[in-house]
Amino acid sequence: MRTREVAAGRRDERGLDVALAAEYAAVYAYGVIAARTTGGLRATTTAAYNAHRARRDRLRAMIVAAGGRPVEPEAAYELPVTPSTAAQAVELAVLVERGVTGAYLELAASPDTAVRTMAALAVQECVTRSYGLRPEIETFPGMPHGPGSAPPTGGATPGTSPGAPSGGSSGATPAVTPSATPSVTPAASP
Amino acid sequence: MRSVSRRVLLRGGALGVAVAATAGCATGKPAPPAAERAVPPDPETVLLGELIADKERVVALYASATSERLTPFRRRHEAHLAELRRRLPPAAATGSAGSSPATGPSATPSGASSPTGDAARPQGPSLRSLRELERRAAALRVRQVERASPPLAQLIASIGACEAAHALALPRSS
Repeated sequence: MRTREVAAGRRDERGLDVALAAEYAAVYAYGVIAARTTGGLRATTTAAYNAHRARRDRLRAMIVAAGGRPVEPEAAYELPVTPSTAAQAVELAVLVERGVTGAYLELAASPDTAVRTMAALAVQECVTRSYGLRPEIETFPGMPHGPGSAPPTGGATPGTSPGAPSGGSSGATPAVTPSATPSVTPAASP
Repeated sequence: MRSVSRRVLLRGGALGVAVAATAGCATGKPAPPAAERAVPPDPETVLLGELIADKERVVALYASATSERLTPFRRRHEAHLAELRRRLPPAAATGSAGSSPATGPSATPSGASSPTGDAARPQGPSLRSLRELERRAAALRVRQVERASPPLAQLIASIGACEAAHALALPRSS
């Protein structure tokens, strides 16, 4: 029993770290995006920057409150594109939101119900923010194997219907890991 | 449609057990052991049943809408419903879990009717009521993740995010 609790605690800690790392990357990316946009898009991305900063601070506080030590941000991050047009800015912002959505969806499986509800709310925030930037809706946001994708390679039940997320029966379906390869990665050390 | 709480259901179940026990006495047959009679329902299956019943009503509501612009919304709800049904244990899938009482965000015809638009379009839900329905569904998902298994919690969180986007995306006019 005790071993299970410790394992669950570690999983939770890891999930919080993953979400925090995703938020650091999002704050960095939105800092760049907001600086390179104008008008309404700048206002939108500045609001997103502030929202991710707030989530970052909340995650840090949760980790500290649980007796952990938050991971620190990287000095710099590599962006898949340095936006020079509004379209590129939107593209990058949507990628960022997808990455953070995946991180929070992993956290939605936390053994701590307070963490779960926070994560579920954060997933909704990311998805609605993304919709505000680009009006597209995924059927299963954050799930790694969305509509039309190949079945998952690990822990999945074959023969699922197209568009269904991975997994078997409710008791045996594995929790998913973040859906997106992080779009914003720490820059390599010189 | 009136909601029936789990407590009411459980009370009903207990009453049924009492009646069965009385009947057993009357016929002189020994009643089965208490453990066999009062098997509590699996909470995960109960939750899945609630989610499925809720989605079935939402799908029916969208199906009653006349605007083709709402078709993608209905299809996403149908995909949610299919995935939720797939996660039901086989025994529950053939039983009544899928038709359990409503505890969802009032996806009933009356809940969907618009305070202003019914006279003009009595045959379908108003966009305003659908937006409100999606918003309330998304809010409910945040609470439902608390009592789900980890994999189901993730599915519920994902579905809730889709519903939150729906609330934002539903057209302002038909």
